[in-house]
Amino acid sequence: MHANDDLQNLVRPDRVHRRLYVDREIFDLEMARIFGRMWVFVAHESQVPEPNDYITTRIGKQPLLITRGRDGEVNVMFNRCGHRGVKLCATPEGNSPGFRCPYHGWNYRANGKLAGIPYRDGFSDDFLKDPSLDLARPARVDSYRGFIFVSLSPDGLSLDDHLGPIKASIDDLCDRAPDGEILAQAGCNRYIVRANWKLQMDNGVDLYHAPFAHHSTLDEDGRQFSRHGGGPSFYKPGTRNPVDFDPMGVHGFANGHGYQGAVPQVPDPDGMAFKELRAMLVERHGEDRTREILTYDRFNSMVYPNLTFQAMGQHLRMVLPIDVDRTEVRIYPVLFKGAPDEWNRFAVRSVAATHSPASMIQTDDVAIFERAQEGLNAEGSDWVMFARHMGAEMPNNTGGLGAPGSSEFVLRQQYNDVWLKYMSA
Amino acid sequence: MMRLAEQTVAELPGRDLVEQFLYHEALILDEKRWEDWMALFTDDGTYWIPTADDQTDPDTRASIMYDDRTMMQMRVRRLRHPEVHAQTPASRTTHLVTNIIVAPSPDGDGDIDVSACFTMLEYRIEEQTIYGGRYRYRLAVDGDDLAIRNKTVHLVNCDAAHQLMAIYL
Repeated sequence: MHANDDLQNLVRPDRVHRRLYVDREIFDLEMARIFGRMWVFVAHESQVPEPNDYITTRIGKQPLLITRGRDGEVNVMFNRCGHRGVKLCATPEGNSPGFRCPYHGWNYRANGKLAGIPYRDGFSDDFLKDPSLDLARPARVDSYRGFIFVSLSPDGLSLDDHLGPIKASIDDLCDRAPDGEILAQAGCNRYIVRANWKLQMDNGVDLYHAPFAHHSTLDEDGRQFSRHGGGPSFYKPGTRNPVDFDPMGVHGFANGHGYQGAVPQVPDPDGMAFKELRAMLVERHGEDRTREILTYDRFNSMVYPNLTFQAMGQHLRMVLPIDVDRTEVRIYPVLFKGAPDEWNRFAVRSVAATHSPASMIQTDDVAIFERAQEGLNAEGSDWVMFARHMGAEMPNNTGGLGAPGSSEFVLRQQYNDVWLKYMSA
Repeated sequence: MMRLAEQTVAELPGRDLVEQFLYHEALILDEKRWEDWMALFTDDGTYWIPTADDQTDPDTRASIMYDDRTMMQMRVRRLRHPEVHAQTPASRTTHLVTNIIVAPSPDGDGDIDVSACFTMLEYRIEEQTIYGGRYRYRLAVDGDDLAIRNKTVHLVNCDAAHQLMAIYL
C-alpha cells in the first residue's frame, strides 16, 4: 500500500503522475478510499417509481439492490443474501414483492427484511433474531431531488455539504421540467472504455477539446449537430479557427465538482415543442423565472467522483470503474416530467446520436481515452499536465471559483484538494 | 406444411432475389461504400439498433443508433472525414448473413418483411470483436427492385456495455 508521502509525490500543483492512471495498486486504493468514502451517485429515484420496483447496480465493486418498498420508501441495500453471500437478484430491473435466494431459498421482502427460511427448525431462535440476516445496507444513503447517493463510510460530510453549490446545477436541470422533476425512465446506453475512470471524469469540464476531438462532427461553420436546431458552434464565424473558449468560463467548487459555462449556440425557439414547454414553465413560474431557467449558462456539470450531466443534452452520465484500465459508463436519457411528449421523445433520440456507444460524439472521446491509456504507459515522461491558466481562477458568483473556459484549474483542485485528501490514510 | 401467411410464398419476390440483396448489402458494408449503402434505403428509410429485445419505439427508450436519412448523411460525412478518431485506424469487417425468412408485410401494402441472422467480425487495433443477432428488414418491392424502408438490428447483447461502435452493423 502507498504511504501518504508517496501519494503526495504523485500530485503536484500543476500536474499528476501517470501512475494515477496505470497503477493497479492506486486503483485498488481509489476503490477503498474514494469510492469507499465519498458520496457516490448510484441511481435516480425515478428508476423505481412504483412499490416493489427494483434495479440492481453497483458501487465500486460491490453489488447493490435498490427497491421501492410497499410503503413507498426507497431502499438501497447490498445485493447479497445474508446466508452464504449469493447475489440475491440477478436481473437489472423489474417489479417483485420479494426476492428468493436461488441457493437455499431464503426469502426477502422488497425492503430487505428476511421473510422466511425453509426448514427453519434447524436454526436456534437466537440465530433467527440476528438482524444481520436482513439485507445489509450501505453506511449512509441520501438523495437530492431524486438523485440517490451512497457513502460506504459512516463518517464524513453530509450529502448536503458534499454537494454544496453544485446543487444549483442539479436544480438547473430539474427546474426545466414543467413538474420540476426529471425522470430516468428511458433505459440507458452502456459503454466500456478500455481506460482509467478518471480519463472520462477529467473530460467532464474540458471545453477546449471539442474542435479537435470532435472535428469530424462539425460542419463548415463549426456547428455541431445538436437538438434545438442550432447547436454549439466551435469555429470563429467564416473561419476554420476554433472559437475563443475563455469567455465561456469554467467553474469549480469544493469537493471536486464543477461545470462548464455556456458554449455559444444558436437557439431555435420555434422548434421541438419549445413554445409549449416554455408556456408550461411560464404558467408555473412566471415570465422572469422562466427566462432564468431556460438560459443555458451551464453546459456540462460534474459531481465528483462519478456523475456528469447536461441540461441541454438531456442526459445523466454515471461512471463505474471496473479495473485500472477498464471503465463502464452509463448514459441515461433524461425526461422532463410534465413536458410535451414530443420534447421528451426528441431528447431520447438525440442521445442516440450524441452519447450512445455508436454515437457520433462519444465514440471519438472513447477512442481518445483509450489512446491516452496506452500513451500513459510510456515511462519517458511521467506527468499529466493541468497547467493551463495557472492561477487565473477567481471567486465567482455561484459559490466557488471561476476561470477562463480553457483553464484546467478544476482538475488541479480536484487532484490536489480532493483526490489526495481522500486517498491519504 | 407450414403456412407462412395469407399470401403464398410463391407470390413473394424470389428468395434468391432477397438473398442476393442482403449479400450485396453485406459486401457494400464490408467495403465501406457508405454512399452506396445509403442508396439502398428509401428516402424515408431508417436504420435502428435498439437497446432492448422487445423495444418497439426508438423515442421512448435509449437506442444504440437511430438514423434517418439526415443522420445517415451526417454519419457518412463524418466517416469520410480525415479526423474521425473512432476510425483511426479504420475497422475491417466481414458480415455473414444467413437463416433468411421472407414474409409479406402484415400491412398488406406489398412490402415484405425479411428476417435474417447475422454475425459481423470486426478487427480494429489488435482486437477482433464479434457482433451477432438478427436483422429485421421492411423492404419496398418494385418489380425486381428492392429498397430498405427500415433495417433493425437486434443484437443478442443489445443491453450490454459496448466498446465503441463507429460503423454500421
